[in-house]
Amino acid sequence: MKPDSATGRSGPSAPGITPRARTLLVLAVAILAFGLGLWLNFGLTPDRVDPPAINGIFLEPPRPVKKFTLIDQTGQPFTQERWRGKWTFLYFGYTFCPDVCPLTLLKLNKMQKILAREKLDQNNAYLFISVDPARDTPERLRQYVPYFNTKLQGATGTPEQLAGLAKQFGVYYKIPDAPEKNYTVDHSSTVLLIDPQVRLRAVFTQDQPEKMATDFQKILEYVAGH
Amino acid sequence: MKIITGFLINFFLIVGMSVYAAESGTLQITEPWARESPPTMTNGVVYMTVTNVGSEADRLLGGASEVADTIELHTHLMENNVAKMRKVETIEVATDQPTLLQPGGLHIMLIGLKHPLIAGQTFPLTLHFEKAGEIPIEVTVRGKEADAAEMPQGGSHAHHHHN
Repeated sequence: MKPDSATGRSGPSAPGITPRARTLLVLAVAILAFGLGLWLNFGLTPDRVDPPAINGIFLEPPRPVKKFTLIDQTGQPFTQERWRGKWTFLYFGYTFCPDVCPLTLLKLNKMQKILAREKLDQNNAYLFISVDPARDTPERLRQYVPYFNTKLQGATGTPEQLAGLAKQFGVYYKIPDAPEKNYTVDHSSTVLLIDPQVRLRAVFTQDQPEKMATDFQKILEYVAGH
Repeated sequence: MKIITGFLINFFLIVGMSVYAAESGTLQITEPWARESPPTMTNGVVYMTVTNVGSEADRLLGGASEVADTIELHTHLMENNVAKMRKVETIEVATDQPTLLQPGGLHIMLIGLKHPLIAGQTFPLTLHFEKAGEIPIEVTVRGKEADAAEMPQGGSHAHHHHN
């Protein structure tokens, strides 16, 4: 803490260097440092693109879907292979759900229409998985899903199959232990996105159609850039 | 001319709505509507706005309608992205702001529909309030397109988030 001596050592009157030469030196170092910074930033990682910021979670790397079997709305087995080669939007719910499921399915319908208009829907599938197989038979699903969108498909499974699938996706649902006649089911309200390589790619926590459509577009652009 | 037509349409819509709006003393019920029944659906849901122009709070206790076996009041909780529908005994109708029954929030459940609700139709529903007593209303059934059109402005979940 001796300001006087410090000033004395590094002051403008330091021997051997004129003020002008010193200014030039500082400038040269600054330019060099700036250039080095640019090179480090862009030169070393020329193709790096940040993962898209979406309303929800974007998985990087995507998580491969483990094998599973469900039953589709026509009574046929439904395995993870049905997801290969296309983008699938996935929603878990139940048909007796009077408020939030129709709401989300109508929003998915609206999103599908936006994507179709933007020509981003050619390779998409939409799937409603009922977690309430005691009441939702394939036949019931077959009647229910087309009301919301003609591309929407339905599937369900045994309680064990559904529990396994929900677990690997981190999807929560709870059938009451002692269900009354008109029981309701707590369930995750998220929409999941499976990529064409059958991997979980994103979880949308925001179900506004416009936002989901924009997020999907961002994801497609990101994937195309890789 | 377009503007005038627009005004006229709005005017008639408002006048038309007031047919469905009911008023009883201190409570005004506006735009009661129900969602059209998707195939297989045996429950229905009714939304509306209840405005309390009186000086003291009231409470919705329940209702009755010929279209359903029973009527329940429900709310909708969103916790960690898990949707939970819960029966509530009453719905508070405060005086400081309108009480909104809307998709993803408070709503009236029609349990055990006697027939599917079809867009464009109306049906009677009698609401039962603690202080205002019984208020009969006519509920309009809206189709899925009208329903979807409501959503963007709804921001329905926001009102019930406590993040």
